[in-house]
Amino acid sequence: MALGRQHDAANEGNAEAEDLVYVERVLREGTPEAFRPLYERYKDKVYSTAYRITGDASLAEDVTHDVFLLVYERLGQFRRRSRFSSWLYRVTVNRATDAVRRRRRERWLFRARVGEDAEEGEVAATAERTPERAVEATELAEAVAGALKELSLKLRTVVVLRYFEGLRYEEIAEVIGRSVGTVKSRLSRAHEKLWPGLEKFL
Amino acid sequence: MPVENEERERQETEKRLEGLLGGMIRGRAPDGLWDRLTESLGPEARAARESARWRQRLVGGLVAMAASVLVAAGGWYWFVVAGQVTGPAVGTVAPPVVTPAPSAVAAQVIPTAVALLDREGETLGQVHVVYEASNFLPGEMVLVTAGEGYDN
Repeated sequence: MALGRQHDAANEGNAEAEDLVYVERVLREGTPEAFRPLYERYKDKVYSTAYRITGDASLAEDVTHDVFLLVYERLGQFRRRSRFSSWLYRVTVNRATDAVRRRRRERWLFRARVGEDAEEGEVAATAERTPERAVEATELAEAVAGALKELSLKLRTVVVLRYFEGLRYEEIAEVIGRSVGTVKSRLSRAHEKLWPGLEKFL
Repeated sequence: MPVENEERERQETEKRLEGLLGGMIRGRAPDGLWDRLTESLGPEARAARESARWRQRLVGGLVAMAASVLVAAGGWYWFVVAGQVTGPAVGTVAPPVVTPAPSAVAAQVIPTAVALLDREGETLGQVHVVYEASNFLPGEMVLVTAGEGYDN
């Protein structure tokens, strides 16, 4: 067990060092091709995180595009005080949250304009567009989507980073710019809200 | 419940959720995304974005000026101000930010946008500030919320 953790830590350290090599290469060569290894390494993580936060596949695709575009153009501003992956997750979380809020505002304005009570449906398990359904339609996927929908953006973010992305408390704290204590407290609050929807699967 | 029991319960719930959710299939980024990205990284797309940023800065400045005039007149308004983060943070402003109206409005909106940075000073992109002034009179308070660079 302890040996396994040491092994994980070593792999993590290697991945971090490799990230920095790729970053240097992009800064040196300044071409999209030099950026591709970083893109390939993180594209699914970024997309998945964006999808879990927004609950919308097309919105998640836009967020993923915007995140990599921003990271490519601002790589020179990455100051290496945090891991590259933490920086990337932070940008992703902010972009995804921003996308959800923008959509809420647009819907609010739309409702105000036409007087309709549009469906909120943020993390609704929409018919054929969710990644789960693309692979396998399951009751669990729907329950998870429903449970995530019940969480506020703050709680949803820590749940996604912890359980879907497997980040440690310290990494989540780095991503959201809060203390480890705040991360734990948000997770505890999230558990209470997740429990009713997921209890039968646990 | 004693603190140790709470902590133990939290850890047990975490393990069960890890088992349940950790095994779920991760969504895969769409295949055509790299092509879309390289297109966006091309010189024409970059020039178009840069031009759009300048337009946004201009519009943001004009809206801020208009806001101060309209706010002074009272009434009900929504203002959207887009500002580009251009330098290191001069201080973190955690929204919602309440600023006194109307004299401080023009002075506060753009600095708020600029100050809403990542705490480490690494810029995260454009900051959109939605500025709501609802039925207030000179001397009343104004609520400013931020779209990005917000307080997590």
